[in-house]
Amino acid sequence: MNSAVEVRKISKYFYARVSVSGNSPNWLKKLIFGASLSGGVKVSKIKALDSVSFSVKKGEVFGLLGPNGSGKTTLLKILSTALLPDEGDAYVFGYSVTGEAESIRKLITTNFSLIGNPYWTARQMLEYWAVLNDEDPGEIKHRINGVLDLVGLSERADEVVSRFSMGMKVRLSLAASLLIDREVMLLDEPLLGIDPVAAKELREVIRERAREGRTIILATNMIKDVEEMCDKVCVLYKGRVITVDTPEMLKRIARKVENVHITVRGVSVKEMERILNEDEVLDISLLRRDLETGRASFKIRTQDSVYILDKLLSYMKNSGGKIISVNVSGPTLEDVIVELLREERDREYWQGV
Amino acid sequence: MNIGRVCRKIMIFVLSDIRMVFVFQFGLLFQILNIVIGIASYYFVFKYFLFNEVVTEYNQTPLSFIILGMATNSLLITAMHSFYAAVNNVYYKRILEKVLTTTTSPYTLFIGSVISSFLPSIVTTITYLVTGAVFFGARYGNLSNAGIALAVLVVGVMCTLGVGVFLAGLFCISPLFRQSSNFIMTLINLFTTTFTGAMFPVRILPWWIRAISYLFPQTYTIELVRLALAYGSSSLPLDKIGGLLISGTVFMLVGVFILKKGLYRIRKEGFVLPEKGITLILS
Repeated sequence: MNSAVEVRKISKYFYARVSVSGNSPNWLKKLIFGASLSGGVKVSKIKALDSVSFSVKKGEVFGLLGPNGSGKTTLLKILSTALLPDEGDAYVFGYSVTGEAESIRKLITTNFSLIGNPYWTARQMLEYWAVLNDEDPGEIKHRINGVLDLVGLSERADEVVSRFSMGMKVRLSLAASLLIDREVMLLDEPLLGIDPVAAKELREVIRERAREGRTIILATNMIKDVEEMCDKVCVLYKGRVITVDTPEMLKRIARKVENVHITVRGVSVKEMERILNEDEVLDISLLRRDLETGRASFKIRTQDSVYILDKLLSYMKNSGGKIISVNVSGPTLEDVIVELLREERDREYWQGV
Repeated sequence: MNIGRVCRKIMIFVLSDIRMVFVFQFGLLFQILNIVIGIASYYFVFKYFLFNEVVTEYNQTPLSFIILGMATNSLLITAMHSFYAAVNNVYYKRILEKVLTTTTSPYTLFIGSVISSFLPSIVTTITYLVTGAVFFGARYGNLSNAGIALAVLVVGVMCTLGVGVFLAGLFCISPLFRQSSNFIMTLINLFTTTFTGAMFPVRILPWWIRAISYLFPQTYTIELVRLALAYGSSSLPLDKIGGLLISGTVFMLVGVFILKKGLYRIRKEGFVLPEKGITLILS
């Protein structure tokens, strides 16, 4: 089988009771609910996921990226069988989340599932979690030490968890998911609140699991996670899939726009604008000008930096001007995602109009 | 299903709950003090305002009657409440959602929680009986009948568990019940404590309350335990035994059915509203 996880047209709705103000509330409702919530109640249907489809290959690290409320966690909950979809289905190694949840539970491990008494130690929490997942008790003690070491908690293993900081609790949750060795890891914000140095190490731990053949689906808001870990990324916005591609391809798609920072001497602003009056130049702006030295710095947004630089070099050769420095930068993944989401919001706005 | 593995899990759930009890060790102490003070109050009430009619029907004094009733009721309340409390607890602490991603059945978790909740309840029952007998001279009947009374009590507890499963099922299947479950449970607890024969015989109640009382297995259990202690197994009326078994079985069957449906509904609806769940519509 090629796909480890396949999501087919999944939609999920939530029904929320919402207050409706503006009606004249009766005194009893006012007394019970207060003035602001006493107008009336309506049931509102919220689309958390809208026909989401994608597939994840075995051994792949697949990122779900999107702003808050985009449906990342809902999707992970469906894949982990804690939640049922309203439409569509998803398959983990061929097993359906709607009909074969028990088979899927033997194949998955999650980091959003740490259960236990907050008065227990980290080690006791992991032992309990291992029991819930039917892990072999003889082997588990040794493995617990291993995963606590991996996430940097081995020295705090016998400390009460309620005293842990948020970052340490996140590490412990990750340790729980690493403890249960399954085919598919579902990770929800696995590095949230963890310091940059530790986060870098833990990204490598997660990547290592993928190299061992585990399939990893992670929901995150951190572009760094996607850049350093993911083979593929699905950008979600309000429950819809905006795009599914590799981080490199996403950057390449957006590479049609490049930023050229250039400092020249002996060329006036007007001349510069005349030379670069081309279709390839989207925008040109003067950043700084030094009248004493005759230097000027420009930022040029272009679709073809090579063509622009070639043209400038030819001009300088003939005019006696000089290029002092050039810096061409492509868009970062963050630029791409922000641009994608901005386009989606614009599209939504114009549809509304 | 691997029985050994399930038993091991249940044992671990019980142990984890016991650990929790010991975290709040003063709670248990206060509970015992509460019972002792409660018994003392019954003692003084009956010392000064004696019943005109001694409860001869069960061969007991009024004080013994009440203490035995309260001791039995303590276990029955646990039987009724524990399954519902287990489901309520795992739902609101979002443990159920997490267990659903593991290979452990939620029913295993519930059963573990139910068993552990009986431990403090057994302590309560014994404290009632011992304190009453040692300090206030309560006599509950013929001690040679204790075995049969205990057997009746165990069957009664099993039947009352059916009510608990039924209430847990209602909690899962009905969002309305979930929202007001604390109030509903308080009402049911109060009703079953007052009107199932723990403090006075059910026969003195108006017929319509008595009819409701006989829907609950607790009413049959308390009466059967009293009769068993007083007169032995030969005194147990068949209609009451039948009533207990039928009531318990009906509650259990209906309860299991709606609990199963309810758990499916929870998986369908989700545990919490999404982040933008509450919006204000200005009409």
